[in-house]
Amino acid sequence: MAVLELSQVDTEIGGTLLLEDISFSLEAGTITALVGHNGAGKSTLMRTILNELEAAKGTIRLNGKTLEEDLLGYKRQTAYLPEEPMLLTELTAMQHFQLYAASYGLEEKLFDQRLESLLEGFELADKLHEYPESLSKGMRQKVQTICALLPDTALLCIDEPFMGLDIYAMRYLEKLILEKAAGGTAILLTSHQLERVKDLADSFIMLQHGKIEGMGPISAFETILRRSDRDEPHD
Amino acid sequence: MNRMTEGQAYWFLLRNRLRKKIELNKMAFDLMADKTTVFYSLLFFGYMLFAAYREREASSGFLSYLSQLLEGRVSLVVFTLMAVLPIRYIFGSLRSPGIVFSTSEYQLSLLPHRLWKIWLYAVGYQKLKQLFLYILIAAIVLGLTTIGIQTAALFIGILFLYDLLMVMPQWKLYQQRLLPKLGWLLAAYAAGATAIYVGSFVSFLPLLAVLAANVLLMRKLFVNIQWGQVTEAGDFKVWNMALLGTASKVKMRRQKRYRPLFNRKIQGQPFRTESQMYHRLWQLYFRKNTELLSHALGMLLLMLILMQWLPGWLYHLAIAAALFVFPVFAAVFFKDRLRADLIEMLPWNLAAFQKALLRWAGITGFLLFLPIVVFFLRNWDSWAVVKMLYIWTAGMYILQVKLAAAKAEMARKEASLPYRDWISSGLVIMAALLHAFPWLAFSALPVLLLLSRNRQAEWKPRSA
Repeated sequence: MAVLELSQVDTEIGGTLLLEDISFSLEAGTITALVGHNGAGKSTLMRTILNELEAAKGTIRLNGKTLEEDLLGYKRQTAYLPEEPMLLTELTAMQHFQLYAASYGLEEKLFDQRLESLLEGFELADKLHEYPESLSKGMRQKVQTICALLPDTALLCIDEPFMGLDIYAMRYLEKLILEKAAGGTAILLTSHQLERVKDLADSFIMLQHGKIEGMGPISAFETILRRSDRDEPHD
Repeated sequence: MNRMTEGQAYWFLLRNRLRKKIELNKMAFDLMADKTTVFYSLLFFGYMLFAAYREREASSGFLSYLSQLLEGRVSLVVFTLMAVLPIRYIFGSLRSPGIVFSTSEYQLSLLPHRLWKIWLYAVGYQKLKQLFLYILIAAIVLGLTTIGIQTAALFIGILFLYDLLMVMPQWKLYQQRLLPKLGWLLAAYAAGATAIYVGSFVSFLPLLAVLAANVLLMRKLFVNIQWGQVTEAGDFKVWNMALLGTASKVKMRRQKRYRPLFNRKIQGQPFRTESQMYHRLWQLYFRKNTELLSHALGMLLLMLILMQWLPGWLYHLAIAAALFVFPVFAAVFFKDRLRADLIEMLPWNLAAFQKALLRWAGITGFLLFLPIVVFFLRNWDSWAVVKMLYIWTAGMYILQVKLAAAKAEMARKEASLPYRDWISSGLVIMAALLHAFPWLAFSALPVLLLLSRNRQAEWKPRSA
């Protein structure tokens, strides 16, 4: 059964249509790469799935239910790793982890185990009681990454996961993404690092000018279209 | 672990926000204060308390008179409050959504928590804080005056009622463009003035309108919300801490974000002329400083309107004050504009910048000039025309002088012709004396000559 199903979704802001007629589905335990040129609508699509932007038309179902049917259930089943860290100024790194774990209702024992392992992997144990402003951008990204990976959700949306991370953190994150998928989470990720994405994903969805231009198994994916390649298909 | 509710999440945020603010304030305090300063500050504070207590004894007769005056006019004050209070919140919507909803609250709503509940908790917390403040002020007033507890409770009730009822209208109005906001502000002024003029229970009509607005807005409370703008205002409100600003000597500015819905298509066209570019820069600056501008100009306008009913010599004093204050404001804006948004770093043509501002200042000056014209029409005599000519030309001359000085400062040059400042001061003083010595108005003619000479004395624009 599909974890996430989008059917004829349109998104608009201030009367401007940003996404048009988007339909696809994601199966449990799969990694799907959302690719496209700058401004193709990748982040808008993620924000629409996460209900940060309201879909003007169409339906989005998570485990068969729409947002309107069960808002909290929908949110508890989605986790998001944004391109830019979105940390709360008021909270230290540790307080962020506590907030995420408590908001998703993660078991205390499981939280301790996961946190210990993630802190070690991202070499963040000595930064636990620091506020966001005293962390470097890479460190903030690591905190945000741990927040997104702590809960068990049916869907994990990752926007540019490797941005700001060093090579070791990138490799570690790749391993974690594969583990999450193996655990049954459907993962939708965007990245401009196409070679890395090819190694990671099972399938791809290509966006161009807010529309789906192509999709299929990752083996069929060659490269993204340029922004100016309007109608002619890419070789 | 039990799943965290919205209330727990909001409380978690508030607790940690408070903790961080205390830490920051403590750091700022440690940076600023030493033992000697603290000792003398405490001594000074103790003296002030003692003086206030003594003053209370001395002024108890006056306070008791004021209390009786208020108690005798409770219904009038209630009617007036009911009629004019909505204006406060509509005015507030120019700069603030009314509710502090920072990036952190918004991010809480992205977690598995309902947005409307987080928002409701934010409203509840802030309104309770407001109520506590009202009660505190009322307690002080009750302690100092003979106003009855029922009267104080009535006023608190009205203020708090509007605080609650205007939450939704202000929140939604904040999302609108400037023109609808100004339209609603004008409508509220008109409704308030009519309600006061007619009096009695008609004053409750604005309240009914506000109630209706609440019913209409409830369903669309979170539709078309400019979250970037809302959180920007919230972040500024939460983290603009006076003590920290003083200690670090860094003034916190509101971080402006892109506002896609606030830019009209026509404004997105490339600039065709240099003057178009300068006008647009001024327009953007005025939009960012709407509240400050409307406060400053509103005060001057109000003064020139309300003082019409006072003796003529007092009104001439008001004109002189406006002649002095308005150009000073214009000069301050001129300098601030060049320092804001990194504009100072670019090789702008200062003369063209000034010219663009002069056009805006002319429009605003004309607005301020209207009540002065009305005054002279109401108090018509043979000097009226010459006096009006004097006031307009003096205003323009002082404006030019102040702007030239600001321009010289920005260009790091010595202001040429320093005697112009003396002439400006003389013109302000003469405006104040026009009532007693109307013939002074004939100096409008030499001022006109000075105006044209000033234009010639201006430096040539840079060819940057």
